[in-house]
Amino acid sequence: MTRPPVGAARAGVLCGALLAALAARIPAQLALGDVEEIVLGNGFRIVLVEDQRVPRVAASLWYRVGALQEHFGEHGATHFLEHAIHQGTTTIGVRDSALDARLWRRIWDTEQALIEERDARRNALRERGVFIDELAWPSTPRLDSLRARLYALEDEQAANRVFWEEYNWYRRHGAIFPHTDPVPATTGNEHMDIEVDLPKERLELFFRMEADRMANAVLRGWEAQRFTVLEQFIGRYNPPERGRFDEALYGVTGVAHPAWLDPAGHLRDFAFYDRAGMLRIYDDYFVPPNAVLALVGAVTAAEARALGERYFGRIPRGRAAPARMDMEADPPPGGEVRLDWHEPLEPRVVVRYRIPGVGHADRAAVDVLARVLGSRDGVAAAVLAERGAAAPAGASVGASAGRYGPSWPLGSPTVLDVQSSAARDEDLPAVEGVILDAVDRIRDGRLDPAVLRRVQDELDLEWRLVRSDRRALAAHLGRYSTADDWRALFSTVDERARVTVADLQRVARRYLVPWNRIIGTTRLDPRPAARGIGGGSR
Amino acid sequence: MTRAAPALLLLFAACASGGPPGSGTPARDAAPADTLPPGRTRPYVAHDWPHPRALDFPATSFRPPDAGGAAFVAPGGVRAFILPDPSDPVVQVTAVVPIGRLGERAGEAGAGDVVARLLAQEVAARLGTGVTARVETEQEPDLTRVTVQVRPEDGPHALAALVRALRATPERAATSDGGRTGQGYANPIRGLGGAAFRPAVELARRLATHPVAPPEPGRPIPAAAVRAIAMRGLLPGRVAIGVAGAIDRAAAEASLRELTSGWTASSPPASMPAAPATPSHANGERLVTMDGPGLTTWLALGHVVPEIAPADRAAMAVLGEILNIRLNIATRELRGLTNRALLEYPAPGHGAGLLHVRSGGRPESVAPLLVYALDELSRIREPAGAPSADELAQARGGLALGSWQASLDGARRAAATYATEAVRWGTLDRLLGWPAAVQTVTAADVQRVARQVIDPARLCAVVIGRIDEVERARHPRWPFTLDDVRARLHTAR
Repeated sequence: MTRPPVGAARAGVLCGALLAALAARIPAQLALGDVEEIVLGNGFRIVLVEDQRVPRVAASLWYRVGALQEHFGEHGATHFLEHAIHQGTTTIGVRDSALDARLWRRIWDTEQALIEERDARRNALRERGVFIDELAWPSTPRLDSLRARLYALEDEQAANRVFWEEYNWYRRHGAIFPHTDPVPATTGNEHMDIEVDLPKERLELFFRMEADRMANAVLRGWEAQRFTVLEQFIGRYNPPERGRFDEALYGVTGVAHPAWLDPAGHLRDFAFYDRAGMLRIYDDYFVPPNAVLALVGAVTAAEARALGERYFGRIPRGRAAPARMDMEADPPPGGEVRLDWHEPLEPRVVVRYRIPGVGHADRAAVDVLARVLGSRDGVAAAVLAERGAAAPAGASVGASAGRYGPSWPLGSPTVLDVQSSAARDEDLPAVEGVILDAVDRIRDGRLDPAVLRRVQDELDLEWRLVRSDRRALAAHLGRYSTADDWRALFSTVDERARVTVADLQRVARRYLVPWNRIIGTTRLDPRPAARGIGGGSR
Repeated sequence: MTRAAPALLLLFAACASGGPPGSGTPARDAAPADTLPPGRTRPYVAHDWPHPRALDFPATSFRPPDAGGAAFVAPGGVRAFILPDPSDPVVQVTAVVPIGRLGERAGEAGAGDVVARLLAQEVAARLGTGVTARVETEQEPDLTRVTVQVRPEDGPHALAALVRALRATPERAATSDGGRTGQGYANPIRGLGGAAFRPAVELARRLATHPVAPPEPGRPIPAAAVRAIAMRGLLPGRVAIGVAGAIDRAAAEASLRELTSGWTASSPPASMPAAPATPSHANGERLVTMDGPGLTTWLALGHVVPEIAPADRAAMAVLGEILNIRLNIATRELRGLTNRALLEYPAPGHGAGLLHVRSGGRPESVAPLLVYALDELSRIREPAGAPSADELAQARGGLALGSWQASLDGARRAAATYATEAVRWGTLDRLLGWPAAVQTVTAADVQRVARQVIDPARLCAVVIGRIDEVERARHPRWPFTLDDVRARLHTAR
C-alpha cells in the first residue's frame, strides 16, 4: 500500500526504526474455528466466542421473525410485539399473578366484543376512500364504550404491575444496552433481537429473563403500548413528506414480497392490531428452534451450555415455525420504474437496483460494488471530478447495499441505492447522468484497481472493529445466523477481500441493468410546469 | 414484589402440561385448548427458576485498566495514556482538547465549533487517502475529542497525523476567515437526545445567554476569535492523548517525545474586544409555542441550573436515573402519550445549563405530557416521592456497574476516557472514585439535591409542532389543554 505524505515537512522527525517498532504487532485474528456452537435438545442454539479480556459478556438473542411473516392489515405487528413482550411474564412484572390472570381474561373478552362490534358495523365504519386520514379511527358509541372499558381494565392491571421489572433488574446488575430505550431490542423484516451486555458474574440473569420471555410473556399494558409504538412510528415522519417518499419508493420496488415493506409498520394498521394476531406471532415464532443466542465475552462453552440447559433447555421445542419467512421475492418486472414525487422536498435522485440477499453467491461482490460506486473517492466521485465546472452543483453521490446498510444484512433480496442531492431542481437530470455514467463505467470494466483496493482496506478495517468489539461481534453473529448462517459472516468477509474488477463487472452487468432499476426523484418545486413537462391537472 | 413462590408456580403449572417444576423434564405442549390462557395456542411453561431477587451473585471482578501505568507525560507537557493490547487488531488514537462552547469568551460565540472542524480537516489531510482510517470528532460544551482508528501498521501514521494536526491548527486558524455559526441549531428537529434538539435549544435561548444557550445560526465569527480560542486550547499542557490497541508502549512514548518536541505555548493571543453576550429571548412567558413540521409535536420543559457542586454529583446522577424511569413510566408505559421522555441536565464539567425533560407526541398528547412531566419533577422533591430501596439499587447499579464499566470497557475506551478526564479535571480521581461515591448515595441525598436543582416555580416549556392542532386537540382520557399547562406552570411550587 502507498503510504501518505504524513506531515511531509516534518517527515524526517520520525525515524524508520521507530515506525517499524511501533507497527510490529501482528493483528489478532478471529477464525471460524474460534466460534463454538451448542445445540440443545429442543433445538435452541448458542453461538459463542470466548474472549476473556474484559470480565463481561455480550448476549444477543435473535429470533427469526419479522415483517416478512405479517399479513396485510397488521404490518408492524412484530415490532409492536417487541414492545409487548417487554411488559413482564407470569412471574416478572406483576404483584398478584392470580389477579393478573383474571384481568387478562376480562381484557380478552372485552377486546373480542370490540372486534365483533367493529365487524357488525363495518359498513358504517369503512370509508372506502382514497384520501383517508390514517390517524382518524372511525368509531361508534359502542366501540367507544368498549374501548373505555379496555382502558379501565388496563388501569386495574397497571395497579398490579411492577413496571419495567426486567429492565430494572438488568440495570441493577450493570447491564449495558445497545440504546437507551427501556426495550433493548430491535425488529426488522427478518429478525427480532434482544441485546444485553452484563458483567460475567451476572450472566445468569440474562438466561433467567430471556427464557421466561420466550415461554411466558404476558402482554400487559397493551393499549398504552399501541400508542407508544405509534408515537415511535410517526416520530420518523419528519418531515412527513420524506417518510411518505421513502415508503412509496419501496412500494414501487417490488409488488409481491413483504421485504419491500417497512418493518415498523404502516400508519393505517395501528387501528387494527389485536391481541390474537400478536399472540399468533408469539406462539408460532418464539420457540427454541427459531432462536439463536450469540455470546461473546468472558464465558466458556461449558458455562454457556449449563446455563442454556437450565433455562432455555426447559422450554418445549414446540411446533415448527411457519415457512412464511422463506418466501422468494418476485422477479424484476421487465421495465424501469420511475417515481416523480409531487410534494416539495430537497432536490435528490435515488437510483435503485434490486440485489440478492446474504447467502447468495453474488452478494459479497455487490457489497463491494456499492462501496466502489459511492465512496469518497469512488467511481461516481471520479465522474464528478472529471466534469469539472460542468458538474452539477451540490452533487455528492453515496451508495449503500442493503436496506439498512451493510451492517444489517438480510437473507431476502434487498436494494442497492445510489443517490445524490443537488443544489437546484434543474440539476437533477445531470446528477442522474453522473450516477448512470458511473454505473456504466463499472459495467464496462473501466475501474481503477486502486479504488477497489482502498474499498477492500476500508472493509477490512470495519471487520477489525467488529471482531474486536464484544457487542458488535455478538450482534453480527446473530444477524448472519438469522439471515443465513453465522458461518456466512466469515465467508462474506473472505469473499469481499477476494473480489476483483472482473467480479464487479460481472455483477454490475447482471444486476445494474435498466430493467432492474427504480429511479426516484424529489424536487423543491415539483409542479409539472416547473419540470417542463407541460401543464395539466396534478 | 412477587417471588417465585410455590403458590404462583402451582397457578401456572395448571396451564402447563409437562413434568413438575424442578423435575428437569421439559414440559410438552400438548395441553388441551380449554386449559390455555385466552388467546394462546401453547401453554405457559412451568419452571423453578428463581426470581431475580433470589439470584445470589458474587461481586463483579471488573477492574479498570491501570491508569497509573498507562500515564505518560512528554517533555513539553503533553499528557498521554498508553494502553497496549496485543490482541487488538486495531490501533486507536484519541486527542482531547479543552475547546468548546464553555471556553468561548465574549465575541467568540461559535469559534469553538470552527476550531473542531479545522482540527478534523487537518487530521484528514495529514492521513491522506493512503491510510485507511475511521475519524470521528465529538464536541461537548467543555472539550473536543478527535478519534482515529486504523490498522496496526498505520498506528504510527495516525499518531503523527493527530499530533501534527494539533500543532498546526492554531496556525491554520490564524489564516481562517472565521465564517458563520452553523445552521445545526436552527434545524426543525434533530434527535431527542442530541445537542440540536430544537425545543431545548429554544428553551435555552429564552432562559439564558451564551454559552448556556448555543449560538444563533448565521452569526459572523471573527477570524481573530477562531485564532484566539485555538491558541488558548491547543497548548501542550492542555491537551491529552489516548493511545490504545496493538501498539508497543516504548515506541509510542518515543514517538510522542519526537512529535511534541519543540511544541511550546504560543504567545498569548490578543484579547478579544468586549462584545455583548447573545441576548436572551426571555419575555416572561412560561409556555412558548412555535410552528414546526412533522406529525409529532416536540417539547422541552425545564429551567437553568448552576453547575452541580462536586459533593452532589453522585446524588445528582442517581436522581437523574430515578427521574428518567419515573418520567417514562408516567408518560409512556401507563398512558402511551409518547415513545420517550428524557431527562437531561448539565454533565459534570459542562458548567451551568438546562435541567429539562424532552419528549414528543401527537397533538392530543402534548398537554398531558407536560402535566405528568411537571408532576414527576415536583413529586421527587416531596416526602411521598422519596426513592425506594429498589429505585436506589437500580440507579446505583446502572451507574457504578453499567455506564462506568462501559466507559472503561477495554483498552481503547479506557484510554479515551482517561484522556477526557485528564483534560476536564486534571486528575482521574473523580473517575476512579465514582463507583464508591455512587454507592453511598441515600434517598435523603437524592431528595436534598432534588430540592436544590428542581424548582417547579421556575419551569418553562417550549412546544414545537402543529400548534393549531395542539390547541384544538383533546386527549380522550387526559383532556388537558395548553391553558391548563400554563395555569399549572404559574401555580407550581
